[in-house]
Amino acid sequence: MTSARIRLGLVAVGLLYLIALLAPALAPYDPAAQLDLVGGRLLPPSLGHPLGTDPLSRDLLSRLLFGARLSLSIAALAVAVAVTVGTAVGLAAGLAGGVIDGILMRSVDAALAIPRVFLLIVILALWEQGGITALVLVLGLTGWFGTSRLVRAEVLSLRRRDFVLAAQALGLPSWRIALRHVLPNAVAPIVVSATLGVGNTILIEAALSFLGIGVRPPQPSWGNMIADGQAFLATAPWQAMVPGVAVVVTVMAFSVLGDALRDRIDPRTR
Amino acid sequence: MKPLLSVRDLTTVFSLPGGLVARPVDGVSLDLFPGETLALVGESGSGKTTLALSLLRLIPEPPGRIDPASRVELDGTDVMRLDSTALRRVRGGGMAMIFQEPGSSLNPVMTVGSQIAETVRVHARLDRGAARRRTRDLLADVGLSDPDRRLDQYPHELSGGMQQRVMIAMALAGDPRVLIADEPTTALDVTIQLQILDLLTDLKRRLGLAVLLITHDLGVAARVADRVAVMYAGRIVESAPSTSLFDHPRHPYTEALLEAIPRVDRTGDRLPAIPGQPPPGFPTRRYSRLQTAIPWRRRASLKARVWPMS
Repeated sequence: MTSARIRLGLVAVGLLYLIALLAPALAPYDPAAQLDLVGGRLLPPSLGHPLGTDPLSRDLLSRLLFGARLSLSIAALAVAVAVTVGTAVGLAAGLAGGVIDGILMRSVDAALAIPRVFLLIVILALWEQGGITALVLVLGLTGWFGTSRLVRAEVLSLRRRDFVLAAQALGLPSWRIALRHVLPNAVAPIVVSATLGVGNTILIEAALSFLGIGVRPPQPSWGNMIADGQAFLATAPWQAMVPGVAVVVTVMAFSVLGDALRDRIDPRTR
Repeated sequence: MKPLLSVRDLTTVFSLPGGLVARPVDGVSLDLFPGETLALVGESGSGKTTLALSLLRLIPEPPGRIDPASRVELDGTDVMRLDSTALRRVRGGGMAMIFQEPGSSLNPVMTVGSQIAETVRVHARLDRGAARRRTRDLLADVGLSDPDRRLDQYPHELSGGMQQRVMIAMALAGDPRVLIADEPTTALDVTIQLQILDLLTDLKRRLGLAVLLITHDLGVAARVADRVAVMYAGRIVESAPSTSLFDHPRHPYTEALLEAIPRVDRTGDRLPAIPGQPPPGFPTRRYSRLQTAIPWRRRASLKARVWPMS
């Protein structure tokens, strides 16, 4: 059962990244090209435009594919940043203990008390010129708090394990014990949290782009495509629904994979 | 002959909640000579493991603390006064330790070979290839069959006895002169126990190791030890060559321990058990050193009073 869900999640996530990777080859048009502003706006799906065209006569399928490319890479990179920082902080706090642990974890508590979306909106609104790099950095640097707590908790239990004591008794330096003995044993929960984090980040990125402060036009992102289409919900509902479904399917894929991995790894939820 | 390891007045203190202070190791002195096995026996809670961890300064601080007056001299150097770099060289390089549960003492996500090779390289400047060859030799030394295949196996692929052999190989990786074995056979089957004990004796002879064998099993002590030290309540109450200790115990506690061993020629009777447990956390603030030196016979009745709840 669990392995079936893991396989399903892996296949779905793999397909999504494959589509994103092959977007330039799969897309029939340039996603930014305004093809026919006079007669080609809001066209319904047809053979020439499988998903129709948007309010600026751009090919919707091409935009969806390139949007996947952007959304998936932003999410993956942001989570990579978050996991790296979170793991480093959690490892340091868990191993150092005492005052250092206290300072780090109270700071994390304080940061967690600020609503993340609010924080993101403020920073991105102020940092307009940052572009995609800023988006990745800001998403990543606001997303590591949970991971750091998770890693710290894991480290606290691992550092009491016999093999860590044995490594100390045999004279291994503490950095080596941290990186070669403690960290590799904490990888499983980190992978689970990263997988769930990618889905969550895609959702947040879509929300930010919808608000116009994430991925900015003319670059296509699922969030700004929904924003473009929302005015036409009554007359051309697929404009918002197509990117909306894409977000749902993607987030679901990551959730299924993350949940299944957690069930497999964590015996307490079995 | 000069002792290889000389311990004088080793005292380890733990601060307990409520201002109480426990002394699981209370002024222990002992000598360990090259090529001998000293068995440290005593029941659970008598301070054997804390003593072993204190020798390598592996007591978690806080809450633990080793009394600054304690001296642990390994071949003339006082381990208690080494800086952290020198201490690391002594751990594994001068004194190595193996533990009770071989399964949990090995890192589950590293292959046996890379774990041992890591310890080899920490203590000797060797390149990867040389470390791997040395690891293979170590595995052969501890009598593992098919050492080349074992190198790339994970701990869970091995049996308990094989895991303990791996652990011993790892302990030998830094060429230590003293091997501390904390209940090395307790988690193993009886037949495997004998093999591991014989291996320890064999290694001691071949490498000239001094072995400090911690056990609660007097049978184990009788089989391999040259000398036996009996520990009770943080102190060594009797220390003697194993032959004379088993034949003529001098301390009543030793006598009681020997009485409590099941014997095949004495079936039917109840075993004369020692009542209660060693009084915990002594001497406490409220209970003086004198009061903690209660004769073991009376401890059951005293237990209730020794442990003031805060």
